[in-house]
Amino acid sequence: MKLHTWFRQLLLLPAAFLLAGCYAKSAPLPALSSDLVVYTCLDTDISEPVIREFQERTDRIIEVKTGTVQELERLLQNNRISETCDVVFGISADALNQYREFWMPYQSPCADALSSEFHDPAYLWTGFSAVPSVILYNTRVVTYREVPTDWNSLLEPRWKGRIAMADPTVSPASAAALTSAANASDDPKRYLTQLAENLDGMIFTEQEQVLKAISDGVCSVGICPESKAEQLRRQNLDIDYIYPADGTCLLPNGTAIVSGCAHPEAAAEFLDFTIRTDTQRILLSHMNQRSVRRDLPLPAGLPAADLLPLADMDYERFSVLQSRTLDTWNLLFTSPRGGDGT
Amino acid sequence: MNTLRNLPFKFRIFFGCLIAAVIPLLFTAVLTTRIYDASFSHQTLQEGQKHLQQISERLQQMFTLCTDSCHDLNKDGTAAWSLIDNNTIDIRKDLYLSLYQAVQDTSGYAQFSVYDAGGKLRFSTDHTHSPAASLPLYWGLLRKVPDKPELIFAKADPVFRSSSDILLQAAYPLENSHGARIGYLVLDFTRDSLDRLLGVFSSDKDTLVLLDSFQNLIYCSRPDLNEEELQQVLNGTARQSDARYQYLWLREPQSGYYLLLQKASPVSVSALHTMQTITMLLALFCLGVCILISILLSRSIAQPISALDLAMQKVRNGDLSVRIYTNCRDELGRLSESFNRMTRELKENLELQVQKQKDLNETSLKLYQTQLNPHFLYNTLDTIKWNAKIHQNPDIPILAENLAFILRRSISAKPFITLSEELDTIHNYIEIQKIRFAGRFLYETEVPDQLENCLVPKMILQPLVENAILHGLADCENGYICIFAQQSEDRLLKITVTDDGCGMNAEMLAWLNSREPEQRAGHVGLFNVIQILKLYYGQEYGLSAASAPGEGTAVTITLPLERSDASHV
Repeated sequence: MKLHTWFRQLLLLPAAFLLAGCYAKSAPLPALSSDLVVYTCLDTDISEPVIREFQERTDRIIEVKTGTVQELERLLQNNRISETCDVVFGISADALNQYREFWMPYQSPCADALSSEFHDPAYLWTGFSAVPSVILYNTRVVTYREVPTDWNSLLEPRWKGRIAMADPTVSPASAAALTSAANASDDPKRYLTQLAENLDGMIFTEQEQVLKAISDGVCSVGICPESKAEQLRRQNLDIDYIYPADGTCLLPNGTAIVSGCAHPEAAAEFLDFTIRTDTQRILLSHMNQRSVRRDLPLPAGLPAADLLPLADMDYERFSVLQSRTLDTWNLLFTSPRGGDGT
Repeated sequence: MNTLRNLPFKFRIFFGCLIAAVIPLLFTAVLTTRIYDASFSHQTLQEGQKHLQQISERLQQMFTLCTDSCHDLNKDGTAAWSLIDNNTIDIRKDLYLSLYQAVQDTSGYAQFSVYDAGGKLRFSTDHTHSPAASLPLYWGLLRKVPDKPELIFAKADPVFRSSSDILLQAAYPLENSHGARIGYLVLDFTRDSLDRLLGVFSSDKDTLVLLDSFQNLIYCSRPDLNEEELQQVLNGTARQSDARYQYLWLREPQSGYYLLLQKASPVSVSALHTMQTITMLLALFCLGVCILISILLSRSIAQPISALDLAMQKVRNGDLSVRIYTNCRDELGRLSESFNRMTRELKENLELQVQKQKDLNETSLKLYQTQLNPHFLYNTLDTIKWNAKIHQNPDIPILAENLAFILRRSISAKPFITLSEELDTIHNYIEIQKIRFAGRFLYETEVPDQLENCLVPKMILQPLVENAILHGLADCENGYICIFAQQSEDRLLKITVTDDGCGMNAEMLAWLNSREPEQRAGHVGLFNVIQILKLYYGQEYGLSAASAPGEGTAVTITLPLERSDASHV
């Protein structure tokens, strides 16, 4: 080899060393391409088992996006839903109904087993679970004479500062309960004003905080979904709950396939899975959720839906009432207490 | 390139030294840092790969142990018997012995539970985290149990686990001797057991993540990580972009699980930054030293050369007295000394040449002056001869006396005499000429007293007077010659010889008034006067004449005014 060639190579070596950064790197983890993108507002302890089971049964790679109903509404209003996800899962029925034009109609083979109030007449959305709102109370600090009976009970002076409630602007369940409570009275605005005064600032950002406050005795009574109350009861804690006699809402949450999505077949398969018998049985047996199917028995201790004091459930009307309730509430109550909020 | 060449020498040396020093310095600093970085990264990668491999082998070993334990449990039949008859103490005792043995065989990583064919919990070795009272057969872990005796693993379902500490579960079918399924063995792996199993080879700064085949999180060695930080670990593995860590992964072949390792660099980011900072500071310090040395070096080289260059320019402009003073004894010092010697010798040589030229000019002048005498001598002697022949008169002694005076004056060594002495010589001359041209002209002088002691070259006026007598008054019977001297405003001495003779022709006039008149035959005396004046005083001095035919002639010599008390150069 000639000297100048050797010399040139000697010069290039440090240059390559400098420029290339000669340390080795391992190959990056291969990203699994999604077969289905699911957007959900449900808690992970409900959504995750369902999605994971579907994933394992079908070998499909599922990408899960979690968010709030408000974030979903922004996506819908900006017309970005079809590029974001294929299916929305665990969304409250009034929101699904309000944005019906974004969903693709699909009638599942299992749809016949559903109660008529738990799916859209045109099958633009299909229910997944339903949970009524209840009034929870601590059995050690609330005597049997004081046990609340209806929404108006929460206005009693004895409960001032001792009511636990999640912020309705953050918690859909709390918003639904508040709407039911306010519209069960003759003057919703007066009811909300009095309730706000009686709450005396005791507003929590998460349902778990409501449950803890009541089970610890910090608060005596509170508003929460039946599933949470039942979960506490099954743990043999000192709590119990009632269904407000003046009417509670049984607002389901459901699933809808996004119109124009990238994976409509996989989305349909997922929707079918959500209302399958075994999925709905798991909701009943282990998640304290009420099934949307007519053919599944409730666990012992849970009254049937037709025995519950349910308020009239027209989703469109309910959506309007809820909107008005929240507007009034925002004017009355602005300072949440405790927690990080979600 | 031209710009480079046109840069001053000092700057070229400065930048050359600077570049020669700085580039290797920077190169070394950067190369050192990169080599350190590369070697640390390589070492981290090597260690990480080794750790990951060891962890994977350990995981595989654990899977194998668990499978073997389940197989043994199924084979020994105690589980089957206990499911049939759970009241007999001995059967229960044998079962628990087998279960505890299985726990030991798996090094305590797994807790064993027995579920019946309906999914109800019957027995368990885990008394810390009470297992789920029942597990659905149509959902989750038990649904996945195959018909064949195979241990299947699954991420613990939060719905069915009794404690959030249980992260991983496994299930194995229990069969009787006829091959019918009678129950399930469920193994629970807690965070603690996974920490013990998987955290052996990695340090506290490393993060190990176990993902299932769908890349769902099962276990993370750092439970303090929040969701965002965990996502960064997963993204780092996906993007390999974070320089603080090395990200490695492998897929466990048996279960399809992913093992991800975020390995921290052995040298912390802050230490690396410190090292880089120190390297850069040292580099900056060395840069400063390089700049200083470059300045000093360029100055020490360029300064003597600049001085030499400047001195050369002065020499070109004619100043040979310039000298370069230096204390250096190196090549530049010797060069300066050689330059000094050269200019000194050049000056001496020049002065010698000038002196020689002066000597030559003096000799020439003397020669010019001696040219005057032979003509005069000839004429005078001729006159003496004819007078003597004709008149036998007393003029001859006068002629001889005056001639002698003139001869003495002309052969004297002094090149310069006073104007009064020169006029005395002219007077002697005129006396002789009056005898020759008796009564044909008048002569007078008008010289101010203060000019009488002015120095003039000797015999400078004689050719002019001779010319006036011989040519100007050639056809005159009553001519007039006057010599007058005056001092001009610019300190020049002007001596004019005038006559009222026939005047000078234009050609002669032009010749006399020309700047450098050439030698003319018949006018040697005037030419010599002009040459003497120019040699002594410079080209700007000489003769000038004014004349008109028939109106006489005035010839003026111009020379610097010098009195006899000042030294003449």
